[in-house]
Amino acid sequence: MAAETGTPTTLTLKSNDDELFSVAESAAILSVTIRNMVEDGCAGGVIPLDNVDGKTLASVITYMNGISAIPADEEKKKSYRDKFLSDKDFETLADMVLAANYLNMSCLMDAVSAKIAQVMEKKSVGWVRRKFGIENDYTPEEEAAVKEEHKWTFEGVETDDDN
Amino acid sequence: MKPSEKNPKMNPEFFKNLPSEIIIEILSRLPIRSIAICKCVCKSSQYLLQTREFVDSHLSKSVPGLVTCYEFYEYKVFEFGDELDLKGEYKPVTELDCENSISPSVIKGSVNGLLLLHPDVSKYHDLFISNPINRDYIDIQNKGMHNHHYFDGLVSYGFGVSEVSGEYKVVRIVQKCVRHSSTNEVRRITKSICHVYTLGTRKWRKIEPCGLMGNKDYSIGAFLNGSLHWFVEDFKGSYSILCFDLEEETFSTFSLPSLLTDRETGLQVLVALGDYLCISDSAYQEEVAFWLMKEYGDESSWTKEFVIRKSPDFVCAYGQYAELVIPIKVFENGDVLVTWQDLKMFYYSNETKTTKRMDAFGRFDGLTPMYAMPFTPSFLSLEKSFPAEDVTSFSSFDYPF
Repeated sequence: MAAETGTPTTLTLKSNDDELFSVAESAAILSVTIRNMVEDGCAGGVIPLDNVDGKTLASVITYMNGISAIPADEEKKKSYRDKFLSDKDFETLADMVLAANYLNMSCLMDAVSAKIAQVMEKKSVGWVRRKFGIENDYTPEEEAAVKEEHKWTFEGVETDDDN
Repeated sequence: MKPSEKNPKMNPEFFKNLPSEIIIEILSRLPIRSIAICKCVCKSSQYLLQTREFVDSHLSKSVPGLVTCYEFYEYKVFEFGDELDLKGEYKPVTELDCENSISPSVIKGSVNGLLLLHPDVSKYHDLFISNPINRDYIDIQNKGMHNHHYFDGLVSYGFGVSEVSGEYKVVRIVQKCVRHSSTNEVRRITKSICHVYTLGTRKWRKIEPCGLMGNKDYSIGAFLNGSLHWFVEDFKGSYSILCFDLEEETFSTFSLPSLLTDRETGLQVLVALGDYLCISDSAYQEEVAFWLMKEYGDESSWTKEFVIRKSPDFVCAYGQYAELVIPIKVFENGDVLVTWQDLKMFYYSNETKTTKRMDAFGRFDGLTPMYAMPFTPSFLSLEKSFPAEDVTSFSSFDYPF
């Protein structure tokens, strides 16, 4: 790692759709995956990130820059994360959780998982199936049985429009 | 152009494509109700939500909520985070009516989403472990125990999990005593006997030597750091804490803040409050003092952490202020949720320094026994964790609605 101060080292990251991004090393090493590459001396040229597309990587880099600009104040970091995720739709959140997992960024992983969980609260069985693209493989009898077993959960849940 | 062609990601199949550890990471943050809804979504989600990995991940993130027990048989579990909506009314995540199955019971301990229940009709024989979220229970009564000679003794319980081996253990201490012939008051203890039941072993084991419990009856052990703790008053008016290490199965003793020693007896309770041992002392006229052991095991670290003024509502039918106040949860802003005399709940606001009646978890009439305890909900499966035990489900008959 560059030891000198004053001249921040910049890394170049490449998404799986061949977009290139410049990011300060100090921000990029929030990702343990990238930090390991830097520490192993593999970060000389371009760092290829095979599991992240350009749109998602751009968003992750915005987050990296934003969060690393905040001094050690957990409260402020939390409110930054909340604001950062507030306008993201479900599909974007899904891409980001995969990216955070691949990049090994626990703080982003925690925040996005929590945000998805928040979106899922009070949603119906049909909603979860639609959003997660899940096929219902229960037979009608099995479904009735599992719903009976959990009937206490259905109070206060948003009504289903297709189910 | 149809929207699906314009954006191929409109209908992502990512539940199936996401690695299960990420699915677990997300779903383990959901409230209990939403997790149950996910179980109904498809077979693989139901399977995933029953795996050890999911149960452990959920438990590691689960925050203490509350279990209430009204009139000994109506159990309700509440989830809440670091803020309470004082004006709202909380809906329980689950409700149980155990009158028809295990008979009206008292909660004698709570750890990792499991409850130790003791039917109040029989003093010694019956004990149950239940997971109210999974709606099932194990009967651990009397397995290899001969109880007949303990009649008329003082009985204390504890329930916890050992720190290294992760074994769930129920501890029962029975003290044989000599009572005053007319007042029935306990004069002295003649023998103290400790038995331990490790869940999954189907038997009670005798532990020797047993520490002395003092003159308290029906005391509930406070579980913290792999040990159970009981508040002990001897017959000479001095206090200590008896500690039982669930791993080593040995007893030790902590001393208490010296300020406590000249106070009226019977008005102090020991509980685990967050990460601390806490003594709630209600013996003052106007206020209730809460002492915390700031450094676990360091007897010099007992600190009078906060004091709440007694509400005028604390006056009981006899016109006395002197009643037991038990803290349930301290919030980040310093507010405290407490129960009063097993009849009502109160909320202390750190900002206004006032204590107000709290009805968000049900309106308690102040006459019918109501019990409340911190409860960390979990999906811990009795069947998978303790395969040797016979697990019974609460039938749908036991739904109160």
